[in-house]
Amino acid sequence: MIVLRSPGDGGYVDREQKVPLHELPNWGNALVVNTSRPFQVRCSIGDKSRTFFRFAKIPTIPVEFPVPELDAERYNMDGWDHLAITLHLEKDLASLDLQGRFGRDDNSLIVRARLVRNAVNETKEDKVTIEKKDGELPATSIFDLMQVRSKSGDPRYARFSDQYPLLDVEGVAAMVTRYVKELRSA
Amino acid sequence: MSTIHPTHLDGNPIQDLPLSALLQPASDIVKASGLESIRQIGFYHKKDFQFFFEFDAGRPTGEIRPMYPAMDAEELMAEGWEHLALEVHLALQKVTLVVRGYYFREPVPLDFHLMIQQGPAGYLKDTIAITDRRIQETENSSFKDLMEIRLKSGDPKYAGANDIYGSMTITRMIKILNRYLRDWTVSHRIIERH
Repeated sequence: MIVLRSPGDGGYVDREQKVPLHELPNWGNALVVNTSRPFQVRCSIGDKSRTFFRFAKIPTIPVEFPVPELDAERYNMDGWDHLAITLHLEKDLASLDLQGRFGRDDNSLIVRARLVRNAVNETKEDKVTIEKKDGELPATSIFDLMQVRSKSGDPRYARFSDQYPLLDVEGVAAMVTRYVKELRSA
Repeated sequence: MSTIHPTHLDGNPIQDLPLSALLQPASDIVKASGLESIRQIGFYHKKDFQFFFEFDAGRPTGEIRPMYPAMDAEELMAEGWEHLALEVHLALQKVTLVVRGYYFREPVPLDFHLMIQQGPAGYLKDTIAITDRRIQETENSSFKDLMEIRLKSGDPKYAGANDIYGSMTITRMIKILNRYLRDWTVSHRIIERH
């Protein structure tokens, strides 16, 4: 693991760089081949946080896969009522789906984000949709969120260290959380 | 990295092993994964099967080795199960078998739940709960109770003559459960009015 340098101010903390999304097929391919089918890894955050792997049949090889490192308590405190982060692994392809409800009152937001990358780091899909009580907001993307800057020129939702081609699950989840937090308080 | 007993775990589903034989490999698997416990869940539904590894807190820092009984799904589901989850939970010096599902034999629909927990000195828990969906009443018993039911001749009704409580294989236990459930639905066809 590489420890990325923090910006030193702005309340950011050091964060270990996790496995980028496009590298996850390197970990998952053997299991896809072994079970002859795609498999899923889901981390759910809510009243009862848990993580599971789902396979179409029992793997006959050890399962070694970098499960996203998500601080459930922190996400709860940030305002997520419930959040499911699902990785769908196919041969040479990793899809990240983030689905959840942000806020615990009538004005909660229904959040969906999807980022799909293949093993050679081509982005196949990148979409973020937010549904409010009075309708759906225009769709955006993780890429667009990364371009948004504060007046100071600092990234507004991304971290200084985030780079679009090297995004990991933890980074996407943190970025979307910052975005919906701001949307709700606006 | 911990040592996993090679005769019990070679990457293939386990067959014909009692829970007590899984204790040491379970400890090794859990230690190697860096987790406190791992739930393995096989979910059978008609011709569909899904297998889950599930854990509550933390994330694995090492490999997770599957250690799960090989069951004949067709044979299992032919018995009256509409859907069935067969779970083997692994922890340090503890293995838990959970069987839960929905069973239906005309006209009796029932929810079934069994939990047997194996510790170093024997079973730590042994519970069976059967809920008749028509009246939402639950009958509690245990696998031990079930094994002690005898015919008039004195022979065990559901267990075999060579079956010993505490050292039976998972597949054998499932066979006994299926026999018991078949009888249970027959004896509960008529709802008793209190």
